[in-house]
Amino acid sequence: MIELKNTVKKFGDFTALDDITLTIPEGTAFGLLGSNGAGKSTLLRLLTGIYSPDGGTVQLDGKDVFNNEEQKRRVFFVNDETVQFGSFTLKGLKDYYKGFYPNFSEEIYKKLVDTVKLPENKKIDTFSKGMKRQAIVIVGLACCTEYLLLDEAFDGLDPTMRIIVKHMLVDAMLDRKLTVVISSHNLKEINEVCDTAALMHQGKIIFSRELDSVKGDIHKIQVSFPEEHTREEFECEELLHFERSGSIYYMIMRGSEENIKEKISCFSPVVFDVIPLTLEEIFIYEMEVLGYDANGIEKE
Amino acid sequence: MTQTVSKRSNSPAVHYGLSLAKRNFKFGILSLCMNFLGLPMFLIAVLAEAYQMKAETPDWFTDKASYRIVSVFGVTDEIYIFIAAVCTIAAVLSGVFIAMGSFSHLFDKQRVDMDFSLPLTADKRFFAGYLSGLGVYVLPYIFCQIISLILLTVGRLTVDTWVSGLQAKVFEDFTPMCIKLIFGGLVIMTMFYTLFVLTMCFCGSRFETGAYGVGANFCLPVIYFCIDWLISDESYGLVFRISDDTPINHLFGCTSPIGAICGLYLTLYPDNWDRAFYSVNSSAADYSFFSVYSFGFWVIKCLAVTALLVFCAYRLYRRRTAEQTGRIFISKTFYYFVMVCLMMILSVFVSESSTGIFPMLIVTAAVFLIMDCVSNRGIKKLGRSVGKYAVIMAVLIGGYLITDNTGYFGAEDYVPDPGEVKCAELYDYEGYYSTDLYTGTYRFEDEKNIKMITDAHNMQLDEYNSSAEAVRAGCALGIKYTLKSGAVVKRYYSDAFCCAYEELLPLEVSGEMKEQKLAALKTTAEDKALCIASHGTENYPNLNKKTYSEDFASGLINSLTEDINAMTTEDYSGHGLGNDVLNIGTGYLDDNSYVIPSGAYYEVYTLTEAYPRTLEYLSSYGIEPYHEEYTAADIASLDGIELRRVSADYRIPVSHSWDMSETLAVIYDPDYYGNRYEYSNYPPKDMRISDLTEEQLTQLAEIASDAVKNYIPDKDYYSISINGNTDMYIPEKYNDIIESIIS
Repeated sequence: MIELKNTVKKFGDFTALDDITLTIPEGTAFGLLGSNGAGKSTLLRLLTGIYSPDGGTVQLDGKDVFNNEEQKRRVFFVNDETVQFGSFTLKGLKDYYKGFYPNFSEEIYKKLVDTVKLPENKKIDTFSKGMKRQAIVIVGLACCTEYLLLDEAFDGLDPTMRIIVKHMLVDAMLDRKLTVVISSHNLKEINEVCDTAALMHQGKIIFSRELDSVKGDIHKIQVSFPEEHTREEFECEELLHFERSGSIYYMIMRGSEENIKEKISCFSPVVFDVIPLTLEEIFIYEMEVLGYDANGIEKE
Repeated sequence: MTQTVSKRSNSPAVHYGLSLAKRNFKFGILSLCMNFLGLPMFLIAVLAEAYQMKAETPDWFTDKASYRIVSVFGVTDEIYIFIAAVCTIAAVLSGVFIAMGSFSHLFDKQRVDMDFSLPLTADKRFFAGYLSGLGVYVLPYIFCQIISLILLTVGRLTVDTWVSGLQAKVFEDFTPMCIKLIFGGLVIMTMFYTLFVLTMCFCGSRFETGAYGVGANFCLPVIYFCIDWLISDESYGLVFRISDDTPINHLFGCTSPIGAICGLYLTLYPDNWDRAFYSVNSSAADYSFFSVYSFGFWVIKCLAVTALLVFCAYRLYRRRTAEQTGRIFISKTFYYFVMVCLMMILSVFVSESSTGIFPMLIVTAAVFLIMDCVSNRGIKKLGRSVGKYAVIMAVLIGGYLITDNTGYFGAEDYVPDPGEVKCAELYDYEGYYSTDLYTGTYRFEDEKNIKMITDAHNMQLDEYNSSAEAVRAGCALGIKYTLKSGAVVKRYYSDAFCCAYEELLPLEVSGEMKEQKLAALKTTAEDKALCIASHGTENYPNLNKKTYSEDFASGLINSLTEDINAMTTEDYSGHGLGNDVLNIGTGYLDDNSYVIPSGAYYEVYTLTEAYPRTLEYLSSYGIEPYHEEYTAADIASLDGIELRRVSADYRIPVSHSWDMSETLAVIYDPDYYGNRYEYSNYPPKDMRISDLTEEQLTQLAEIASDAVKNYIPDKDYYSISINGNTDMYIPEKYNDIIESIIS
């Protein structure tokens, strides 16, 4: 289990993580969502032991990660950058990491290489962006660590390769209870692979729960009234978004479907429809509440 | 899916180190090639040249008639030495790149995630990186030096067996020094590499690592140079020599790679260094294990400093965080240290080369501001840079002013109380009648003599502090006090004051001085080599380079002993007879009965009326005080004559009496001196010899014949110098003639 308790991380005067408390259970696929500069990569680096927290704790199963060889052996981090591997061949990279991770599996490695058909003896810097990403993910999976942290894992992969990588991850999760933490802007992938997600913004966790409950808790409604109404009439904590197009009103509201129906019914709607939201839409509307929306940024 | 867990043969730290070594492989190969082109290639060239010489001129190694020092450097061409030196330097400098390769995660942001995420603690990461880089750096060197040792052995077993007689063995003589060089080189390379690792721990970017790493190598030597300048050039009497066994010299020789090279050099030729502050009877390499000449102690010191550098680097590395990678300086302390040293050296260098303070301020300001702007990556903080510069220069200039105005915190004026002194030694002491042929170190433990020395010393300082017109003796005076507490105080005045020399005159006939002179004479007498009485001029031609019976030698020494024992201050400071000095030294005969001088130990005696027995003894062998007689024709054929007036206001050492003279006239041969006689102070009168009348030539011949050397009258006098030789006293009776010539 990954635990962050009141974790703070600063870079000079800038607070990258502001008193974060987060728990990631074992065996889950955890998605990290957030705006640019939210602190996702910082959090992953804390979990890997690259950074040390300036406040609070970062622990795996109750033990600190930073400068702890034993704990670090349980984690493999796949960075969003791949240029540092350029001078290696795939085989060389495999041999390099094999020396650090006692559970490295040649079988898994061979199987994955055969699947994606990457050349083992060519320098990685001759690979395409997607191939580089595949190479390091393969090595990461072959290390057979308990935790796999992926920063922008699907970036640069073609649709077919994305499916293959997803299957690799899922197989590993099923096989040995791998805990995967994926940071990505590709909410579709997070939606498909992860069962739990956290949304971050400006160093804080906005929410962290199972995706099903996230989706079940926010609804888009399409409603029509006999009279005209203004936003202020519907204004409440649960209202995330209000839009009017002619006589049709579109609202994004938090809460259960029943509660929302009850609230709207006070206004005697003529038409009332609930439309399911994608994770992307949830992300956009949640960010909008926080002031991180396209209109706001453009005005700035 | 079942999986086969891989078996790991090395620990992660070892694996990490080996992977870093692989990364540095190219530099390792480069280092190997450069190392091989250094000493091994040089020795191969020596062997090849020796074999070729053996084939072409077999007698070269055994020719007794042409004695030569046959050394490795004499056998080879200079080009091989040059190539070996350049390649060795390149091999040493490869350490910079190897260190950067091992610790690239400290300044390469792309590597930091990769290396810091590995399951290694910071300790293991540091030591794996350090040892890996060190291995790649020194293993090629060790390998190549093993080849060197093999080549040296081959040389000793072949080339050296060709050498016979008096010739020095080529490889046998070179081998001990070579072994020290090899081992010393390894020590220096380790220190150099470690210093760069330490620099990288301070810096976060490649450029700063390179630039300030180079700077760090020069910091301590720079400080040493500045102290040398402050003391040697600017102080009065304070001593600063690299060969002294002082804490600062010890520190200099082991606290930086450049300093260590100098320290190593001191240990390679311990006998060649200035030994003057050692006891007068020390003629061999008489130094302890803990002196600056000791190779073993130098190695220990360097390794201790290197270990300290490793420790500091480790501590700094442990405090380094991944997010500091790419930051220009992790700690500005190092940056300021390098910059202050740079400002020190620039201020000293520019001050030496120019007048006034402004050139120094302009140069230092320009360099500092440029470097600060580069380190700040812009001119936004220029104002702060100016402030920093002002503070640094205020501290440096203030420090110098305080040092200068306080007389080096009182050190310049310090003379120990005679009661605190256990022993006083006079160094480079010429003596009142010395003719610069021998300067000795004399040791005094008698309280009266010590007081005489401290009084002379105090007089020296009083003259310096109070009188701008005090007369300088023109010769040196070095003093070393060993206090009862064990402390040592050394002073050296390259231009002592006359009063000091006059004060010390009785010392020269003191019991202790006589004992030391006689001990030296006894050593000469007991030496089984022949006693050769040779002379610095032609005045005793019959004594030059000839052998004499042992009876003559022992009789001469007996006479000198009696004269020295009987001598009083009045005798010693009495008037000279104008005789030339007598040199007595040691040597040996070669097969052709040529005398080969050995050693540098010569006794010098200025024979005056104070040596009656010696003069009588020499007379009994037909050796009379030589006196040059001149005729008018002799005068006409001279190259030049100088007439001077010598002041007798101050009794200065005889050898420097011309310092107090005023040249009145020069009479010269233009064919020899050209159309204009070159003289720094143009005399009132200059004449060509060809312009002299017959009467003047005859008068000058009489004067020159009657002139007396080493004669100190009580009042001003005229002197004459023939062909630039030593000035001679012109008896009073000739004053009118001199005045008529110069008027």
